[in-house]
Amino acid sequence: MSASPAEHAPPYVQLGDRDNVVVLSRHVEPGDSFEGPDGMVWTMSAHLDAGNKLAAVPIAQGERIIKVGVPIGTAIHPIESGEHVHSHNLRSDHIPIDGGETAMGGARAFD
Amino acid sequence: MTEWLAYQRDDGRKGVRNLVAVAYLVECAHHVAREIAAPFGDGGVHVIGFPGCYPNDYASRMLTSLCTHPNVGAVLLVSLGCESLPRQELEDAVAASGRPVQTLVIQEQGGTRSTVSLGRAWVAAQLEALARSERVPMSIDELVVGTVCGGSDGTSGVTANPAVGLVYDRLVGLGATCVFEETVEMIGLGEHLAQRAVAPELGDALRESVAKAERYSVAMGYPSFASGNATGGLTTIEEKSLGAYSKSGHGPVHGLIKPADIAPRGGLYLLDVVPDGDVLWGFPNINDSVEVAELISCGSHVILFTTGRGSVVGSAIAPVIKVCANPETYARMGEDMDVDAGRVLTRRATLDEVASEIVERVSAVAAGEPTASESLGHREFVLGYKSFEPVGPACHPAPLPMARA
Repeated sequence: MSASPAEHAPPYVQLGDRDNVVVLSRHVEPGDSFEGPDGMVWTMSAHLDAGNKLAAVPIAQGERIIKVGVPIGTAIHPIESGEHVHSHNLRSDHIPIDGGETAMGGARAFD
Repeated sequence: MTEWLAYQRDDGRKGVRNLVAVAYLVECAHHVAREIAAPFGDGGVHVIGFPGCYPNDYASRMLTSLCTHPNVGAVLLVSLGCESLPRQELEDAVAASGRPVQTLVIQEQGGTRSTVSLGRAWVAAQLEALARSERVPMSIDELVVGTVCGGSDGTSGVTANPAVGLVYDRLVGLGATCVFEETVEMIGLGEHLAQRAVAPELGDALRESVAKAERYSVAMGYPSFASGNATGGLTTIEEKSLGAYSKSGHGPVHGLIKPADIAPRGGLYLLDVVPDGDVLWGFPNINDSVEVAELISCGSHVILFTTGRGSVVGSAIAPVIKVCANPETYARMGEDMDVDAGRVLTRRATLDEVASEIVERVSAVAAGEPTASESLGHREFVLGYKSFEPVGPACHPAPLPMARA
């Protein structure tokens, strides 16, 4: 990323070319509106702290979430472009936080 | 700045601080130790100790290593009298290291008041002597740096952690020793880590250390993940791991060490903090301070501590440099932070520029400048029960040219 002021830049960064999520670079409030990487206007419906993820494209249930070019888990519901991606729709393929099953079922999907 | 004045110790290592350590040998002696240190405030008297009454080899080795750490100039041991930690062995080890050492046994001294009184007098005399310590030149290739992330959020892996990775690449290039840990946050990355090993047997050891961390997390029923991580946007352990892992940089890994192993001179080392064998001891990292103490026990002079949500901790024995990943956390809590890495997100700095700032801060802190957490009086210390097998020969492939005999 080049070092230049970002007063009117959208409040997210895309970390990898193949990523299907973007990461908030500042917090957003309900009603905040800005242009997504898909050219559409995204309107936020909740307060989200910087660091949270938004879907960059529509994501199907069962599809891997890709961040910095690598999978970070699997979508357990269909996700719309601009939607918050977090524990309600993204589950670990390794060790779930709540002690339950991984997205693929079972305690661990693979090494 | 790649050279500064430091304190020469008998074993050849140099310290960037000249502290008196007051070590309680069981929780029952903690209050007395704290009272001995209290009048000295931020004046270089640090309380460390082991709360446990039953013996533990790991705890004994940790205390020995910390009491003979290059940043420590003198040691007061405070024993209740009936605890199991072998205090004579510990005292002998500190004496053999050329440091002034005194043991006070509360039950023999006649209780709290007289032990505190004697302890304070001894510490005061040591501080006076240490103030006259000569300082010698120390260069960057004699420095050992450790890194840990705490209070991570979704910005940690975007700003502070990769910046520290660049710092590690540079420091190792300059001949320094850099240590990273947190295998419980390398879930899914064992193969990537193994590929960086300088020898295949080391690669196997690295791969197994991550597998061990995964087994431990599954057995505990909970990965290394806190609720603040989630509020800050991290969703899965593999996502958190990606960010955490980037602190180790891109260079080869030269060896694997365990707590209280002194890192060989020069290179990048993985510190494996997950106990060996059956899952006996609970979470390997109950809080960040346990990991910080373990990094210091391997000889780390300073700690690079990245945070997104805003950790405020420092540490006893070694200064903690806080690298803040989240620009909004820095705006709220800047007084507790040393480096504002969140500028990367607001496009006011590049990762390279932040890395350069961190390297400058490391030199300045090594030369004596207090960190934010030092100035605010943070001297956290946590030590519990663990057990480890010694590292095998695969963990230390052929010595590097700069390794000490």
